[in-house]
Amino acid sequence: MITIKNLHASIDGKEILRGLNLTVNAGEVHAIMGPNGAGKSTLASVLAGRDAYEITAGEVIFEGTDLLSLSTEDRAREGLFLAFQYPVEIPGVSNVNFLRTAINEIRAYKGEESLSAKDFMSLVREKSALVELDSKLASRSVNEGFSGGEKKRNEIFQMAMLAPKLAILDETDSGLDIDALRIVAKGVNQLKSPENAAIVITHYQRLLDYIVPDFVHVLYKGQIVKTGGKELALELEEKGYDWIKDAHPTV
Amino acid sequence: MEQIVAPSKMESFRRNLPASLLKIKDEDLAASNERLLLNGFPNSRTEAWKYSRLNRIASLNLNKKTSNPISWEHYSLTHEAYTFVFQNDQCIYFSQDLPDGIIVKEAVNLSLEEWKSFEINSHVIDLNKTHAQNGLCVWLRKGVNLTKPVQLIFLSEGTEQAAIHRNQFILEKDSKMELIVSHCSIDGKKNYKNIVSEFHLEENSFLSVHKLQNEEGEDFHFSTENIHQKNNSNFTLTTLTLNGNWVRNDVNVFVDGEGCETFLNGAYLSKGIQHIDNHTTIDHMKPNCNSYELYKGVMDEKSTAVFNGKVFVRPDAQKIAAFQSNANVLIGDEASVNSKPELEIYADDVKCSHGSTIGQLDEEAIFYLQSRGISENTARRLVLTAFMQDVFEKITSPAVVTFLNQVLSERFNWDLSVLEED
Repeated sequence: MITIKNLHASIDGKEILRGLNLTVNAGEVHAIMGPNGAGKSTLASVLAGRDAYEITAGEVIFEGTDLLSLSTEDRAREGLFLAFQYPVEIPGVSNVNFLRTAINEIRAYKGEESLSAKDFMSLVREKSALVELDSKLASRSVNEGFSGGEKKRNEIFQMAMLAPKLAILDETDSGLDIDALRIVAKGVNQLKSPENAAIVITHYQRLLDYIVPDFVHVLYKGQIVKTGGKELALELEEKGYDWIKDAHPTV
Repeated sequence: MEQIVAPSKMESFRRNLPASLLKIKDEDLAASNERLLLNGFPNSRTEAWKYSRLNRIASLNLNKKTSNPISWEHYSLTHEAYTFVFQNDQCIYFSQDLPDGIIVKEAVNLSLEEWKSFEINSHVIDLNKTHAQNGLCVWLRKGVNLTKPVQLIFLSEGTEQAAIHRNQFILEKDSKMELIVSHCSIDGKKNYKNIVSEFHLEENSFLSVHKLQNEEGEDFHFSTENIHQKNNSNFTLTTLTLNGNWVRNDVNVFVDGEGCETFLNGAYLSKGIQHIDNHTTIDHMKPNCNSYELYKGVMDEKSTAVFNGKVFVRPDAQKIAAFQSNANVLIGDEASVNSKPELEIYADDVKCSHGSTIGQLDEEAIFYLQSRGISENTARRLVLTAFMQDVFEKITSPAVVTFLNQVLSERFNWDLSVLEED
């Protein structure tokens, strides 16, 4: 699905990612954990194509394509989805119209016909039910006046609508109460299939109680320093990150 | 107080302008001539013209060339209207098929007694008074509800031609009409357009005006609207400035009756080196009235804009609700805007507010939309259209909406249809 090799990225001259390697196959869920400042959100931003970051070395192959050479929109059209840590409010642009524009641009990119208004609306109804998002929210301006939980559920709703091959969830659990967390996780789990994959970026283990990862990676100082199964998350929860830091003082 | 700078510039500017063909009192004409002679063009020390320099206008070498009438049908927004067309300083089409209850005349045919006047001066109005060549005058009789709009088209054409007109609209008690004023040009080069329109709304009358400014080329455009409102009248002016090299709008509303409603809406979209200046004044002279003003603009490339909105509430004008808002987005690195709201409130039982914002496009919002598969162009268009939407929503004329969509798509590569609800 995606292969990241020796990825180096910096912002304002400061190197954040320092030789990151990661391979994710179809059907897998990978969790990336790590202390604050390890580069977790930078990884998500770089993969989505935020242009504030400079890629200084390395490559990312996504479904056989050089991901880093694509524009942000083409990455999305190729099947990459980023659930934002801080979803943006866009006054005046309605959720459904923006999604319909997105879906139709993606379909045009793939040489497919536009989705009719009727089919689109039935898709909205089906997918908003999945994350228990009030259908009234679907027709409101994008994220405007949404609560923290509603914004995160809206991210998963959009993910459900766009049906990506690879979803990157950037700290989707942050700021969520336990009920919202359960709803978000349920949505993610229902979208899981042998054909797609997910990278779940999180600081805490609790999301992984609901979205069970196949692999857990520890990101520290811009590198993946440890990889294990889901039990690694529990170990991190118990011991904190200090033992990782102590083991890699010179990274 | 307009200052004396270079009266000689004004004299040379007026040199080839023919005297007014409209009836005007001798003393009014003399007063205008005297002010122009003494004050000349205002300079940047005059507050009202601080951000709109007149040097390029003052140095125009206006002349008069007779040209054949051009075909104007292409510029008409709708067939379902009573249409009147002016080309430069001539009336080239005058709708004959008018219903009962409306009287329309060319301004040159008005008697002195038929003109009403406003106590308001500017060098623009003085130039209009001293050199107006024609214009349109409409009376709507008591109780008449005009079902089709009046469409007034001002076409400019040629090089350094002047089009100076004065219009007057009188709406008698309980009458109602819609007016579309459309300004366009055919490859105009340094033409000078000065249109003064005066509106008298009598008791319980209703007038909605859509003013469209879409001049191509390098014309200089001055529009002045003076409005007098009596009891329970309702006035709306929607100004859409979509093109034009240099545009100045002066709107002065005198709300001289109780129970009135006044709506001033404006949308201005500019690029290149365009300059668009909107000056508005709403003078609440009587109690129990509402006014709503919403102007929004998007400036691209090196274009510049000015907004100055004054609201006066006089001492006895209690129970006034006056809301004013001006919002701007600068999308060009070298674009600029000067926005100045002014409230002067002398009554104590009023509800007034004003807001002025200048911002840039939210790049985080653009990135968010792109990350969902929307192209950068579409993302920008979506966000800009959303920004302008609350002004566009105030357009009540279907013909104007169609026209706007066409211009937005052709000139700005915007597509409003993406925002339409199913």
